[in-house]
Amino acid sequence: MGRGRTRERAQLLAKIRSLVVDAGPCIALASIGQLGLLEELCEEVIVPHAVFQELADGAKFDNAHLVVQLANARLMPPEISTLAEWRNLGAGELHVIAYAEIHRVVALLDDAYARKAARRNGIEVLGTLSLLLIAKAQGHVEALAPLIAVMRAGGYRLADGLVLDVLRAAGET
Amino acid sequence: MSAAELLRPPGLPNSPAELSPAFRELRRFLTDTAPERPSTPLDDAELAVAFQVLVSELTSPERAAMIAALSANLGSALDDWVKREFNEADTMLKLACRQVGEAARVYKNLLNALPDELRSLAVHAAASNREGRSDERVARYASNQDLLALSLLPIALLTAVEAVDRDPGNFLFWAQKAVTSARLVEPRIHEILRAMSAEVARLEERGAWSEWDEEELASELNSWQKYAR
Repeated sequence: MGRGRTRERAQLLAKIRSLVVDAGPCIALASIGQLGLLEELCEEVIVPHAVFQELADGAKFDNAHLVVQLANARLMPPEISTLAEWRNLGAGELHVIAYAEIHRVVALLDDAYARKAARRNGIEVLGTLSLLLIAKAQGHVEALAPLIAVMRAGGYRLADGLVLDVLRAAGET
Repeated sequence: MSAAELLRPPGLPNSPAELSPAFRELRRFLTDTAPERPSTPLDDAELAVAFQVLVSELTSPERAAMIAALSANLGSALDDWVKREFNEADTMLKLACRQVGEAARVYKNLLNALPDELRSLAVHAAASNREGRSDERVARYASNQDLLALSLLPIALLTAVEAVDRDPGNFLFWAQKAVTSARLVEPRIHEILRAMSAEVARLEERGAWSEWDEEELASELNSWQKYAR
C-alpha cells in the first residue's frame, strides 16, 4: 500500500527533461543493476556516439552498453570535433559537455575535471550519487546504503566522509 | 640485453624511489614468479594482476618517455636476437631465439600502436594497485582472452630474455610462451587497444570520486534537490 503511494508520488514528480550521459556514470549504474533509473528519472537520455563506443568496447566487462536499449535513450552520431583545446578530457566527456552546452540539457558526469569544465560553461551537472539521491527521493529505490556498499565492494573508491554526507542527504543516518 | 634493461632503459631514473608503484609491482611480480617456471604455470589470477599493473603502467603520463625508450630498446634488441640466432649452434635454442625476436617485434608494434590519448590518461597507478585481487576483476580479466594474451606477452618475453644465459630449459619454455602470446596478440592489436581503453574508462570511473574536492561535493549534494520536490 505504502509502496503504491510512493509510486503514485513518483509519477507526479517532474522528470529530468533531457540528460546527456558520460560513460562513467553508466558503468557505475550498471555495476549496481540500476541502469534503468535513467529511464525512470528522465524523459530523454542522450548517449553520444563516443560514449557508446567506450561502453561497447567494454561489453565483455559489464552491461553498461545496454543504456542505448532504454526506451527513452537516443544515440547521437558523431557531430562535434572542434574542442581539441580541452586536452585533459576524453572523447566521451568532450561530447557530453559539447552536446549539453549546445542543447542546454543536463550533463551526467562523475569525472572531477569534466564536471568543473562543464560548470564553467554554464552547464547543469548531475553525478551518479545525485542521481541516486533523486531516485531515493522519488521512491524508485528504497535505500542508498546497500547500493553504495555494492559499489565499494566492486572497487569504487568512495571515501567514508563522502558516503556519510550522501547517506545523510538521503536521510539514512 | 637483460630484462632489467628492457624494463628500465638506460638514461631513465635508476632509484627505486623514482619509479612508479606500478612499475615496482611489475618488477616484484616478475622477480617473485619467474624463477619458479616452468614448474608452476601462471594462473589467471596472476595474469589479471599483471594486466592491471600493465594498464596502469602504460597509461600513466610519466611513463610516456619510458614507452618511447622501451620501444627503441626493443628495436635494438631485435638486432641482438638476430645475431644470437645466427651464432647459436643448438637447433632448439636457435628456434627459441627466433621466437623471442618475433615476440619482441610484436610487443614493439603494440607499444607503438598505443594511441596518444591512452598513453596520457591519468590513471593513478598507486590507487589502482590498492584495488588488489578483487575476485570480480580477476573473473573479468580471465574471461577475456585478448587481455590474457596481452598480459602474458611482456611477462613471457622478459622472463625469456632473463633466462637466456642462465637456464636453457626456462628459456625454451618462455620463448614458446612469448611467441604463442605474440601470435594471439598481433592480429588483434586494435581489439586489444579498445579493450584497454574500455578498462581504463572503468578504472577511471572507480577512482573518479577520489579527485573530488569540497566544491565538487557541495555541487553534488545541492544539485539533486530541485528534482526531489
